[in-house]
Formats: sequence, structure tokens, C-alpha cells
Amino acid sequence: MNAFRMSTLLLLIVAGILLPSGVAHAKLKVGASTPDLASIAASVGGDQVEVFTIARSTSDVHRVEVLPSYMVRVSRANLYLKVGLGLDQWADGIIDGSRNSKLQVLDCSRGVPVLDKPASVSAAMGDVHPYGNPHYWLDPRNGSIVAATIGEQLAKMDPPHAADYRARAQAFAKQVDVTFARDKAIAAALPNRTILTYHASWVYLANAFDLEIAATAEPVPGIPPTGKHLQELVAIAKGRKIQVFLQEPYFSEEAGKFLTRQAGVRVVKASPSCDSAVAGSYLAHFDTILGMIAGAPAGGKP
Amino acid sequence: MNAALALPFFWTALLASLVLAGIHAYLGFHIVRRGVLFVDLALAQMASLGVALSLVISAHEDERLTYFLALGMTFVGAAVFAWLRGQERRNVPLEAFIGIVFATAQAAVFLVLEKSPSGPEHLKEALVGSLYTVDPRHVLNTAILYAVIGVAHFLLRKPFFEITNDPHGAALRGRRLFWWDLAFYAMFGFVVTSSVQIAGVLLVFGFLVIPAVAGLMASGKTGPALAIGWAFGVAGSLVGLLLAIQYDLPAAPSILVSLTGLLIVLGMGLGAAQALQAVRRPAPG
Repeated sequence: MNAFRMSTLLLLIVAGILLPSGVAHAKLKVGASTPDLASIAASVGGDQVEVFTIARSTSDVHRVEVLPSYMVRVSRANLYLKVGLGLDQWADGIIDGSRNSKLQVLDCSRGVPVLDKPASVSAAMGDVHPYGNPHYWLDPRNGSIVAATIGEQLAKMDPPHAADYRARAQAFAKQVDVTFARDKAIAAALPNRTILTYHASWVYLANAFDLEIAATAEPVPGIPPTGKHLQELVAIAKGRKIQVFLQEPYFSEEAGKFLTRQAGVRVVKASPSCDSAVAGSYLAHFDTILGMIAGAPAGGKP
Repeated sequence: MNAALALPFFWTALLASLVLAGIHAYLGFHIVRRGVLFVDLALAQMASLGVALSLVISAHEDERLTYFLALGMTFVGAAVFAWLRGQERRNVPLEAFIGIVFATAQAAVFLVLEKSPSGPEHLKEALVGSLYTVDPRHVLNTAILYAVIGVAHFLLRKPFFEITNDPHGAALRGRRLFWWDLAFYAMFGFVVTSSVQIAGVLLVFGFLVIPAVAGLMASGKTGPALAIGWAFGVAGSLVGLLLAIQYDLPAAPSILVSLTGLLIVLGMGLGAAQALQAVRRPAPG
């Protein structure tokens, strides 16, 4: 062991003593790439876990700027939840930088039925994720699968509370069913279930709630809309009487303004991620999005 | 002070910035003296054009192909700059051509990526850099490469400083300006291609220009100016990184702003020293 490693180790030990060690032993610390995974983990983990999220609701999860505090937080965590499917590759840098040898990393896409899985990836397809569309948490039924995956992982890491984790994961699945039924009714009552979206991030949402995405503003994922493509969108929107254009808050507003002007569609700005890393936020987010698509004022819910 | 200091990523980032500060303060001295400040941005842009081309040629991420295409494009840029300096250009400074290369390479990147959109993210990463998450082995390899180039520059310091400080005199004494310029810009391209990957375009520009300017402000002599530039680069890296850790900020912009902050302090200090001297000993005439 060289002097550098030795001194790092010493510093780490000192840091460990200085930390409030009582709390550290009592609860599992769970970090997650997104508020959605963190919220599900909070529901499943209950009082036995402490969760935090790296990305915020307003972040573009495709690209997250790595900050020092992220590595510090992950260095103290027991478990890290990744979205997987190539979406949160930045998390690897954080996990690496945290030098946390005890950290368990769980890929939450495990067992989720993946949509848009390309048969082969070529450059012409755009910024396509070769493992399939990674925005799977936007189908609440996939939330149940993720909850079960997290529950099993927590049960393995904390056997005395294994039954609690499994019970909470099952209770969460029941809540999902209730939310899913309620929001499906909202979707069914829409005058037109065909919508336009900016990025291909809403495929799972559309699939879950029987919405049809007629086209995306990006001609291929990751490439900003071109004038010609937007003209085609105007034609589609007029022809099919589409009323809603769904987009993330962090993309440019120009395409939405253009479509509003030319085709009279309403721009619905919604984050694909829920508000916060607390239990309940994940499911409440579906009520918010469906409500906004149905015409609730955008600023109605924070 | 801060738990982040206990984690190795801070030390890797610091080491990377020091490696970069070392060679860039030196090369920056040449660049500032030659008055070709934006040659670095132009070569970095040529490198990203190479990256973009590699994405068109191969859908799979072939690191070696990417690297050699990036390097190849910077060599093309180097040859253009070396050739342009040899031309007698009435009324048009070299900087104008550098600007043209920069803008054209940038536009070409857009055109190329329009046909192959697989890698805008990849490209953006290359431009922004990643000081916090850089692989220590990558830093080590880069340090070795820079050491080799540093030694080459040390051995060839006479011609290199001649063509920088007094190109006309050097040409009169029989120096082949084109070849020396080509060698200079090609080595420079090597350095920029690697350093942009680590620290991003913006910070590389900062490392190149700010310490060199500080050194030249403080002293007109080559030796002291270089020494001050190095000290300045080290201080800026350290201050910038510590501030970034303390206030949880991205590393590269923090170091750049710190370098500029130190430059302002230095400027005020030099101004104050001059004023004091003038008071003590009124200038004759």
C-alpha cells in the first residue's frame, strides 16, 4: 500500500468517525439516479432506509453534470439505484469517484419489458439507445416491477426486515393499480387520444394509457427539429385534429410555439421525473401529467 | 474541511489540472507572443470535426479511429497555419484565418452530424471535459505524452523561441519557418487533442492564455515570465478546485474564473507597485 492510498484511507477513517455514526448503522442509505427510483425506494424501504436522488425533477437525465457533493453522498451510501439501459451513464463516473467498496449497485431496468428495442443500431437512427427506450418508469406498471426488484435487493441486504420490504413492495403494487385505473379513466375521457411529443421519452406513458404518439418533433432522437419536419408535424396535427404537444421543460420552446401558431396545439410541459425523493411522489406524478394532458392549468400543481 | 477532499477524485482532478497547467502555460507563452490566441480553439474544433467524421465512418465507437481522425484533422489545421504564416499577406492578419478555420470546422461538424446524429452527446462530452470523473490512467498517459513534448520543446528551444520572438530575423538567418511552424503547431495539436478531452475547450483556452499573460505582464524576460506563468497556473488550479469542492460547482468553469480573478489581483498589484515606484522616484522627463 503506497503512501497516497494510506493517507486517503486515514482520511476516510477520520471522516467515518466524525460522521454521526448512530444514524449510519440504523438505516440503509439508498442513492438513486432519478427522483422516481428514489420515491419508489422510499415507499418500499419505509423507515428502514434513507433515500436521496442525484438528478432533480428539472434535470435532463440524459446529461447530468457531475458535482463533488454527489460523490460524497454516494461514498456514504449502501445501495445505488441506476435507471440503466444506457440512460444514466454519468452515474458510473459518480460511483467510480465515490470509491465506495461496500456500495451495491442495482440496475432497476431488470425484468422490465423494454420498448423500442432496435434490431440493429445504425448511425442513421439517431441518438437511439441500443438497449431500447430507457424511460420505462413512465408506465406505472413498470413501477411495480421496480418496487419488487428494489424490495428483493433490500431484503438481501437487511434480512431482519426482509418481510417488511416485501410487504411494502406488494402494497406499492396495489397503490399502482389504483392510480393506474384512475389515470386511465382520465385518458379514456380525452376528446382525442392522439398527441405529439418532443422527444421519444413518452413512449411508455402512451403505451400505458392508450395514447397514440403521431410523431415527435425531433426527426430522430437527439436531433433538434428542422423546419421541414415541423411543417410535416403541422400537417399531421391539422389532419388528425391533435390538441396536445407534450415536451420536457428543458428542451427549446421554439418547436412548441411554432406548432401552437400553425396548428393550434396546446403545449403541455411536463418533466418525465417526479418532484421529489419521497414516498408517493412517483405515483402523484402520473395524476399531474394526465391532468395536464386533459387540460388542467400547467401551473396548477407545482 | 470538506468530505470531498478525502475522496481520490479530488486529487485526480488536481493532478490533471496541474499536468495541463504545466504544458499550457509554456505553450501559451508562444501563442500569446505570436498573437495567435485562437489557434487553440481552431485546432480543438478541427479535432472535434475528426471526432464527428469518425462517427460517420463507423457507428461503433472505435476509440483508436476517433483519436487518429481527431489528431489527423488537427494536423491539417497545423499545416494550414504554418503555410499561411509563410505567405506575404497584405492587410490580413493570421488571426483572421484562424477565425475562419474555427468557424468552418464548427459548421462542418454540424453538417457532418446532420447526416449522422449518433453522437452529439459524445461530442458534447468531448468539448466540456470531465475533470471530476477522468480516469487516473488517462491522466498518467497524458502526462507522459506532455513530458515527451516538453522534452522535445526543451531540446529545440532555440529555434522555437526564435520563430516566436523574431520570425523575420530567424528567416534571415536561414531558419525554415514553414517546417518549424508545422512542427510547433503539430505538437500543439497533439496537446490540445488530449487536453480538451480532460478539461474541455473553455478551460484549455484559459490554461493556455491566462498564466502566459500573467507571466508576460509581470516580466518581459522569457525565464521569469515562464516561471511566473507556471506558478500562476498551479495557484489558479488549486484555488479553483478548492472553491469548486467547497461550493459544489463544476470544476472547469471554477478554475477558469479563479485564474481570471488571480489575474485581476496580479494586475492591481502590479499597478500599485508601479504607482509606488513613481511616487518614490519621480520619472525623469
